[in-house]
Amino acid sequence: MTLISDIDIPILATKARVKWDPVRQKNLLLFPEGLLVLNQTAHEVITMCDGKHKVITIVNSLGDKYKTHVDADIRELLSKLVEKRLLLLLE
Amino acid sequence: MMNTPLLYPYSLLCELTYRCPLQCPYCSNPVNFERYTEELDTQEWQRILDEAAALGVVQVHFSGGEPLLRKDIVQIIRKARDLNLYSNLSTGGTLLTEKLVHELRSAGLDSLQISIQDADSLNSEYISGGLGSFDKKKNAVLLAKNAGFPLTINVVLHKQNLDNIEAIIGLSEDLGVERLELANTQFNGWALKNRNLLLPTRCQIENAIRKVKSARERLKDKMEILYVVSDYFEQYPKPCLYGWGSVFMTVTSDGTVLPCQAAREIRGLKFENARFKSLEKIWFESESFCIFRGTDWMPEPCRSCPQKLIDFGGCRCQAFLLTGNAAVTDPICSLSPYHNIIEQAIEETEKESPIKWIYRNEDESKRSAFTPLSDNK
Repeated sequence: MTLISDIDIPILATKARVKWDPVRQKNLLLFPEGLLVLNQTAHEVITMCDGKHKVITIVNSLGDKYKTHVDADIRELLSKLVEKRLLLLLE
Repeated sequence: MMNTPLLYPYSLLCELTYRCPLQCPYCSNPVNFERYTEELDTQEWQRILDEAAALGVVQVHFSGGEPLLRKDIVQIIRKARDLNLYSNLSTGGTLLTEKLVHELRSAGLDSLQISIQDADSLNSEYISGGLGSFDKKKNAVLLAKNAGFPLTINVVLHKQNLDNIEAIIGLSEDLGVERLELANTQFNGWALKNRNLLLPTRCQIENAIRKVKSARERLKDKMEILYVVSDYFEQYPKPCLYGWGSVFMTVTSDGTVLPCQAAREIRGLKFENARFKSLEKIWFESESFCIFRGTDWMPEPCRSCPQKLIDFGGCRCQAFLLTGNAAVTDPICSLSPYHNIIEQAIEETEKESPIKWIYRNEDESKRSAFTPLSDNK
């Protein structure tokens, strides 16, 4: 598993695109020959992967919003997306 | 009939034309492609994309034949983009020009896949049957990269190039692509006709897997390497399309709508045409889509097997092509009563035979019209 550090700044790769699917009423992450169905948290995380927010900012912002511990889940999602080369980490 | 909830297709394959300047002997087009010459026009493709998007399709894959032979390719892609579909184009690359690559990019094409046959021109062109194609393909990769496309190199693996897998990976690395798809031949269509020349030996497969593993490790920050296994060497069949009529549909150049791109070879099954019926009606109501949907159709050993929701009984087209019956367990499965067909093929491929391809072209396609089914095995 790719380790995600607090100061990494994730940005969605150009080949990946988020789309609202009106038929299924879900947000999807689309990429070459594949897709992920996003739940609300995953969608909010990916929306924040715009090359402007540090991982720690994303974790704190969603943690505050949902009043639960989302840290491990978010890092797991980011790690999975980095391994699929759908997210790039900026220094 | 159905025992699964209503499903909407995620993905649409548009085989825009069966015309192609190359003649790869493992082409997935139907062997009798030459009889389907009446291609859909631009408006018909645009209407099909409209219908597909309304039906839940979010990914559209354009292929052929050679899709760049369509003069309206840019218009068709622009339509997909207008519908916010994620679009992907698979090309042999030989017809790509700097002008065209920029037109495709600005029309909104999301991703591009270019096929390579082997690591050097002699082997590549012997496989593709296209003299001079190797340099054109390499050039196409560079054009696509310069235009900023997310790019995949696709390589079909088989007996004649599997031993060069390191060189193939090296070539992709030199060309600087970020994604390489190494897919073992699936033995439908033309590939089945040439199986004795294409099916690798077990030893070749094992070596290739080892080399891919070490290349993945070495290149993990540079290139994603996908490896699609050869189902002939697996214990259970592949989960073909995640089940028949479950997430995927194909529209062919003449408008025929298929649950799988190889399904056209299943004789006795009637397929509808998007010229005359809506995709929605075809997806939900046609016999061709309903017949193998879910698990009710399954015979033993699938019916009582815990694997049935993992592999869905395997590939219907392969079952038909190898046994004459599309409704039996895929013979790949070690539990299939027909599994000896697979074992025999693997045994036979150990013998050396001179390479004499049946190239995928119109003459051979016409000839196939007179081939009895038993000769397809």
